[in-house]
Amino acid sequence: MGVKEKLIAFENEAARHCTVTMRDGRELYIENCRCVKECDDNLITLTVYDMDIRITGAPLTLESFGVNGVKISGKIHSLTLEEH
Amino acid sequence: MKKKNPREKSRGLYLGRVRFKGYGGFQEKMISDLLESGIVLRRVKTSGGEITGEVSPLDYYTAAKAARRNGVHIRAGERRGLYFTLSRYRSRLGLYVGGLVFLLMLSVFQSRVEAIAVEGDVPRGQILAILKENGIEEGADKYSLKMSQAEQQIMLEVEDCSWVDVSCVGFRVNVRVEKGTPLPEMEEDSPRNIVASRAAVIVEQTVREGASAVAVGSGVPEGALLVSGTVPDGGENVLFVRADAEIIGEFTETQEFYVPYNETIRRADGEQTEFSYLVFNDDEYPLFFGEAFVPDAVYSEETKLVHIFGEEMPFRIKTGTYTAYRDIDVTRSADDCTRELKRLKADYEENFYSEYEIVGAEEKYIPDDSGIKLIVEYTLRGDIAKPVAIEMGEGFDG
Repeated sequence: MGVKEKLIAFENEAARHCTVTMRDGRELYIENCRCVKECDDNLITLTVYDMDIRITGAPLTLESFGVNGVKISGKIHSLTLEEH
Repeated sequence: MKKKNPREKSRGLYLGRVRFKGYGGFQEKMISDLLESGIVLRRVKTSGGEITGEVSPLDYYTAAKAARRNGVHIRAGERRGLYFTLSRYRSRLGLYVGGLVFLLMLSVFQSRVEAIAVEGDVPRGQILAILKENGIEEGADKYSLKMSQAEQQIMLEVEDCSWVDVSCVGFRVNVRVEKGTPLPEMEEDSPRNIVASRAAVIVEQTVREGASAVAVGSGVPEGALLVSGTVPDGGENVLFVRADAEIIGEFTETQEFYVPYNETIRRADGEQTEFSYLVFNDDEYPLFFGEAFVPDAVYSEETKLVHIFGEEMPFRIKTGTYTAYRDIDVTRSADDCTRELKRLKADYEENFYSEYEIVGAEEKYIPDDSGIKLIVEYTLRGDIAKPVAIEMGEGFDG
């Protein structure tokens, strides 16, 4: 396996893991987000490697951080994980 | 009035920000596209079919393209930040020229040595002369300074120099020279005796101060008094003197060496693993991934100057080499063993008997089933004088 293939494999392996960090119930950091499925004032649904993450709260704002990182601010009411 | 946090204000968009507003289309897909492109998004909100958010002015074009692709109609709203402030003054050419000249001056001055600071108790003139020989002087190109060579030359030429550091910080060359701490002055007039450092037969003596207590040809045990520091003054009193003498004694010592016929020895000549570093001034940058370590190996390193088209580059390449140990089974003949024993004997004499004269060395080779033993009985000659201070009691008043 060449260096390029190794790096791709390493990147793919890293993309299989998702880290969710919540701060004070007002900020939520989600790494390795694949796409935004739904986005509304009170509900944001994000897709990560093998599940959807539903966040409800009011009012929710979305920001990006790093590569494929999403920060959600607002008063967070619930966080639901739905496996594919 | 509530003060605005500058970090909050810029929100990581240091060049400025463009507030956008859009409606219709697939807004979630647009956000996903922008996230995937690595575009920095701030304060994105969607409500009532409308999307609002902020992007950097440099990313607005990409955001607009992503919006069009996903059928979202977006409009740029409020624009703030450095980018737009600079754009406002884009017709003021003088400002830009001034800024460029300032940057140019800064870069030119940064690339030349403007000051040399010498620290330490050394003649500044001597240090400056050495630095000049190595291309370090005021006005010299910063990237052609031979700092390592200058350090070595200072170490060689400055008397009692124990540590040198020549480094370049900005446009200033700092030279720090440390000298060795001088030996403390020893009290040299305290009375002392001289005793034998080992059991020997006295073959020669030269007494410069004190009274000899032994005769040539006599044998003395270890610790016996050879030269006394108490000398009668011809009357009833004694004088305390600092005995000084060279007493040559002859003594014997037996040493044994053994070399087996079969032996497994470890030799550092196995596989070599190299790790290279780019060295720039005092910083090292590894040119490899992972950890530079190989267990059970000997480490050595070499630093090379880099020349491109004959020009010496400001960086060097350091190569650290780990040479793995290898176990080797050695089988020796009797002759090989004898040769090895002679080598061991010569090494021992060089290491331990260099201060003595070897008068005789009687060798006895004793072979057994697994190897050969060499027993050497040395007759040695050397100075056995060992000074010992004379302890004075409390009542002694000189």
